[in-house]
Amino acid sequence: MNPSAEAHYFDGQSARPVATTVRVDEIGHFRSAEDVFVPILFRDVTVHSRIGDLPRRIELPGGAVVETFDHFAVDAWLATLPRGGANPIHRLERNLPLALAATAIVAAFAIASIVWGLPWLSHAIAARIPPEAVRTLGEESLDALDRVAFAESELEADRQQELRRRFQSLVPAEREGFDYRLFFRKGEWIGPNAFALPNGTVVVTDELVALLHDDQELEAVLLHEIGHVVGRHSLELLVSQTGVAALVATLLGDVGTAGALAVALPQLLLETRFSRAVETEADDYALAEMRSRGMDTNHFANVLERMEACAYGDPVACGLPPAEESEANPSEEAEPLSDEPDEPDDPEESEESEESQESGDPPDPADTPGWLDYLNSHPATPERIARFRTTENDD
Amino acid sequence: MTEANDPSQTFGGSAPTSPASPTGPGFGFRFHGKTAEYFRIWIVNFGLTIATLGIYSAWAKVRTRKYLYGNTELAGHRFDYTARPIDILKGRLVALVMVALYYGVSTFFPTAGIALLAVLALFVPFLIVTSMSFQLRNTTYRNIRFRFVRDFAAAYRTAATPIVILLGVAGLLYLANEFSGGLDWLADSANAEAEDGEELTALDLFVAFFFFAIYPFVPWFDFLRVRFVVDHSQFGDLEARFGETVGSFYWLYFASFCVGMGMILMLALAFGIGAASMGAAGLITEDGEGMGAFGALIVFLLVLGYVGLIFAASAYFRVRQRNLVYGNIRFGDVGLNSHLEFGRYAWITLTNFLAIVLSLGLLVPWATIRMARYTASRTSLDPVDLDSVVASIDDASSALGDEIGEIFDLDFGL
Repeated sequence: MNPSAEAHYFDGQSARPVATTVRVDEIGHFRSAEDVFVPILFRDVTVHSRIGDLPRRIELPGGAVVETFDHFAVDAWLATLPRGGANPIHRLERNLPLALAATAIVAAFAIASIVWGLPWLSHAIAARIPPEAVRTLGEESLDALDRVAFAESELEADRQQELRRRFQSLVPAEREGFDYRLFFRKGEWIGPNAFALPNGTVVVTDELVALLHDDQELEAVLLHEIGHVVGRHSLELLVSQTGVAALVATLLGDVGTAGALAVALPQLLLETRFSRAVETEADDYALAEMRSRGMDTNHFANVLERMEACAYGDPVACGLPPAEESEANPSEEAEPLSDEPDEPDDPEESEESEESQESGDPPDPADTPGWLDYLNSHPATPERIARFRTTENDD
Repeated sequence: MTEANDPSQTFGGSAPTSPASPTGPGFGFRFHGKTAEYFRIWIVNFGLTIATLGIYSAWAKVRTRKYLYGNTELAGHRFDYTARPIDILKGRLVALVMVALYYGVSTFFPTAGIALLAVLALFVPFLIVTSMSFQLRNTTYRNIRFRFVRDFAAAYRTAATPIVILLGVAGLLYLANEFSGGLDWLADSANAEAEDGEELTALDLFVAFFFFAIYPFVPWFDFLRVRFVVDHSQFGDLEARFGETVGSFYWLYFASFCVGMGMILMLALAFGIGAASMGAAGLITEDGEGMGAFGALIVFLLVLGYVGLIFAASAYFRVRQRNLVYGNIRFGDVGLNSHLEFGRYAWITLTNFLAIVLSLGLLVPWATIRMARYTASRTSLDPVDLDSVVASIDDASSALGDEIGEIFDLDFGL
C-alpha cells in the first residue's frame, strides 16, 4: 500500500509554491504525480524528524523541499526503508508520562552529581595548582580592596609587629610555597573582619582587633584564615562557582528571560552551599590546630559570639563605648570571618541585620528562620559556636 | 486526506487565505503552536539536556526553534529554522571557554578582568554581524533563505561614533574630576550626613554621572543599531530598509520616560497619602515608631508597587519599541506592520511571569506559546507578491558569533 499525499513543492530558487501529489512508487522512487520534480530514490531524500504536528519536510538533493501535513503517508513511506524511520525523540515526546518521569529522574540525578561531584572536582583542581602559580595571584585583589574599601591601618607599629610575630608562630611548618604575611587595614564599611588571599596573605581589620579581648582570640581567628589558605579555598570557590554558573547557563539558557528567576535561585543555593562548605573546612582546620597546640577552643567560640552580637547592633560587643548616640558599626558584612572579599553586597545578610536593628532589641540569632540558612554564605553561627564550645579541653 | 491532516490548513497555492492583518488588507501572521504539544517537546529537551550535561542543548535549541518557526504562518505557509545542531554546539563550547577564562582572570586580576571586558567589547560589532548572519541564513520561508549582508566594515563604522562618544564622556568626566577634584568633594559633602556604611565613593558618583551624561545619546545609539541590522537584512532578493528616523526613537524614549515618571509620581503620591492617613489615624508617630506590622505592610506594598512600576514602564517601552522597529521594516513599497497594545501585552507579560514563578518554571511553555500567539496576531505584512521573490547568492559563515552572544546574554537582534 503506497499512500499518496497532498504536498507543496518549493524549489528553493523562487518563493512560488507548487501544489502537487506525491508518493513513493513500487520501485522506491519518490515522485510527483504532476512531474513537478525529477523522481528520486526515496532512500536518497532527507526526511526531517517529526516535530509535533508541523508539516513534514522532505528535502531533495539540490535543496528543493516537499512539505506535507500527511504524517500517515510519510510514516508509511518511511516504513519501507530498512531503518524504518524510527524517531525515538518524537516517541518520547508523545508519551507524556514517560517523558515527565524520565525528566524527573534525570534532573534529580544530575543535581545530585552537581551538588557532590562539583565540589570534589573543584577540590581536585585547586589542589593541583602549583603554589608558585598562586603566589602572584591575589595581590591585585588586595589593591582593589584598598581602592574600594580599606584605609590605612591605625594600629600602632609595635602592636602590628607583635601580632605578626604571633601569626608567624601559627603558620604551618610546610609552607607549600605560600607566602604567609599578615596585613592590617582599617575596615571602613567592611567593619570587623579578616580575609585570606590565595597566596597566603591574611588581612585583618582594625575593627576586628578592637573587638577581640585578648591575643589568643586573634590566634584562633588567624588559624581559621590559615585554614582557608591551606585548603586553597579561594581557588576551589572560583572553580565551583564558575562551574555552577556555566552549567546553569547551559542547562537553562534557553528558558528565556521570564524564567531567569527560577534559574538564579538554584545557582544561588549551590554557590552558598559551596561557600558554607569551605567555611566549615576552615573551622575544621582551626579546631584541629587549636587542639594540637593545647589552645582553648572556647576563644574562637567567644569571637564568633561577639561578632554576631556586634552585627546585630550591640556596640559593646564591637569593642566600642556603649553610647546611644554613636551608632555601632554593624556593617552589612559583619559575617564572621568571611573569605570572599569580592562581594560586600550580600542582600540576604544585610536584610537580616537591618530588620533586626529597626525593631529595637537585638533578636536572638537562634530565632532566624531556618530556611534562610540556605541562602547564607556561612554556616549557621550557633552550630559553629557549639563546635568550639567545650567545658574542658582534652589535651 | 487522512485523519492525520488538519483540515484547517490551507492548501491553495499562494492565495492569502490566512487572516487579514489587524488593520486592513495584507497578510496577517498567525501562530499555530499548542501548549500541550510544545510542553512535551520542552520537557524532553530539558531532561535530555540535563542528562547530557548540556550537550543536547544545541539540539534542543534547534528543535525548539523549528517548532516555533514552523508554527508561524504567513500567507498560507510556514517558516523554518535550518541550523545544524553541531554548529551551535561548537559555538557554545567556545563561548563556555571564554566565560571560564573571564571568570578566572577577573577574580584574581580584577583590573585585567576589566581590560579583558574592554577587549571583548571591541568584538561586539563583529559578533553582531556573525550572529545575525547565522540566524538569518538559517531562517527560511517557502524554502527561500533570509540573509544578512556581512559588511564588517560598515558594522565598525556604525559602532565607531557611539564608542567615541562613550569614551569621550568618560574621559571628560575623568579629566574634570582630576582637575577640580569635583567628584571627591561631592562625595565628601554627601558623606558628611551619611551614616557609616552608606558612604559614597568617588567611583559611585563617577558611574552615576556617566550614565546621566550618556542617557541623551541612548535613543540615537539604539536607532543606529536598529537601522544597521534592518538595512543589512533581506529575504531572498528582497532587501529590507528601516523606514523611520532618529527622531522617532527620541520620541519613544521620551514618552517612556514620561510614563515612567508619571508612575513614580503616582506611587509616591499613594505612599504619601497612605503614610499621612496612617499618621492621622495615630498608627505611626513622626519618628516612625510603632510601625511594627503596619510598617512591614507599607514596606511590602511599596516594594510591590515599585516592582509593578518597573514592570509596567518596561512593558510600555517594549511595546512601543517593538511597534516602532517591526512596523517600519520596509521592502520597497510594502512593509511590516506591528500593532501590539500596551494593556494586553503588559497583562500577558505579568501573568506569564507570575505563572512561571508559581509553577517553578513548568509553565514556561505555556507562557511562550501565549506570547507568540499574541505577537503574531498583531503583526502583518502589506500585500505583496511573495511568489516573485527569488533566492539570493549567499556566502558561508560560522556559528561562532551567534552562540557567544547567547551565552553573554547580549541582545543583538531586533
